[in-house]
Amino acid sequence: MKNKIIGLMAIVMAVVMIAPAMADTYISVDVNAAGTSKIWEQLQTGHVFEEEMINNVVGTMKLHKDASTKPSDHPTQGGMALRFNKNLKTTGNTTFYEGLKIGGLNWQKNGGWHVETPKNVGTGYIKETITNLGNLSVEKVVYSSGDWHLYEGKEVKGEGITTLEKRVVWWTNTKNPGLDDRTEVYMSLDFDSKTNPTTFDYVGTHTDGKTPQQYKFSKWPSNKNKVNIADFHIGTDEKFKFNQKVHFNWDLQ
Amino acid sequence: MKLKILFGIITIIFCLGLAMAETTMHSTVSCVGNCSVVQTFNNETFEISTNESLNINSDLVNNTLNVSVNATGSGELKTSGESDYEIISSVDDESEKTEKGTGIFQFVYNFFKNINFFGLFGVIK
Repeated sequence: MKNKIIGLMAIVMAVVMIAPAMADTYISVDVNAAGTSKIWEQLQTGHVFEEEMINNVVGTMKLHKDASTKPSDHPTQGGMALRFNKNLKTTGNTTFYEGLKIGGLNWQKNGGWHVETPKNVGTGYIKETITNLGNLSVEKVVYSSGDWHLYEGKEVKGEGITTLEKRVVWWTNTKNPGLDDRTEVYMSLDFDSKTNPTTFDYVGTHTDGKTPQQYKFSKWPSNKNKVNIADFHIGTDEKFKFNQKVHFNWDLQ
Repeated sequence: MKLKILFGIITIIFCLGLAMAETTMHSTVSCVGNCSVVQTFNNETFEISTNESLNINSDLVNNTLNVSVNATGSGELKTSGESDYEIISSVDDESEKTEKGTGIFQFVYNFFKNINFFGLFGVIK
């Protein structure tokens, strides 16, 4: 009888705890501003953390962003699937920073985050800052299925003096490094302007402990401590447009 | 016996792990000048516009979205949804307030000077 009660209690507690955590969530924000405006936003679900700051001075800003989460089809691996869309249009002087992370993360409620020592997980992050004096348009989609896949697609275009600073970092730390686990990373960046036409393209697959492929990046990669880094530094003063995609895919056994 | 207790503990730990996968969010929007912000959380919508200054802080924790608003100038606040809303504090010397609806709670809040709300949303947990 006691055993049955204990078992029943465990089931009840499980249901109570699962219900709020596994609920579908939808959040959106729309901002229309003329003057000076700032936005700081952080979002975490499951293993994915996203942060952005937009600072617009003496201009206009129009932002739409929506995020939806739902239980992953792979609940033992990640818990929650995430998708968000972003559409930003500004005039004036704009600084746009964003960070996107997946993997061994530790959320700190008081703001900020740090990457925990990864243990049997993949960890990757993207940091990007765009500064623009003129017209800027950013459209972005991010999707994570909750099973150690993360996709970022983005199109940026506009006019005026612009710089792009982007860093992509990833690594894998597993129980059996070099044996079973593979990291696949796909990155592409097509930058189109009169002053600085540039194309990067990379598809890399490697196992832990092996040097990944290298191709056409301005700084690529430092395989120090199995941490792989790709940096982009681009500036222009003309009309510009660039498309970029990053796709992390960990095959963790 | 021991095996069943162990199973119970493992179940609880597993569920705690899933619970940690919950979505959390923080956002701060601040504007000086004309500004309008529309925020949606599931079926709840919150909309505010002003012509002077606006600061909104939103935190989503435990499936509850708490919003605090500071605004000056002239503008309008609208909310709609099926949850209960609670204005914990307000400073609205020259404001007019209209509440409408039963069941589905809606109100329109016209302000002409300052408003200061904290904890505008108490969304169903």
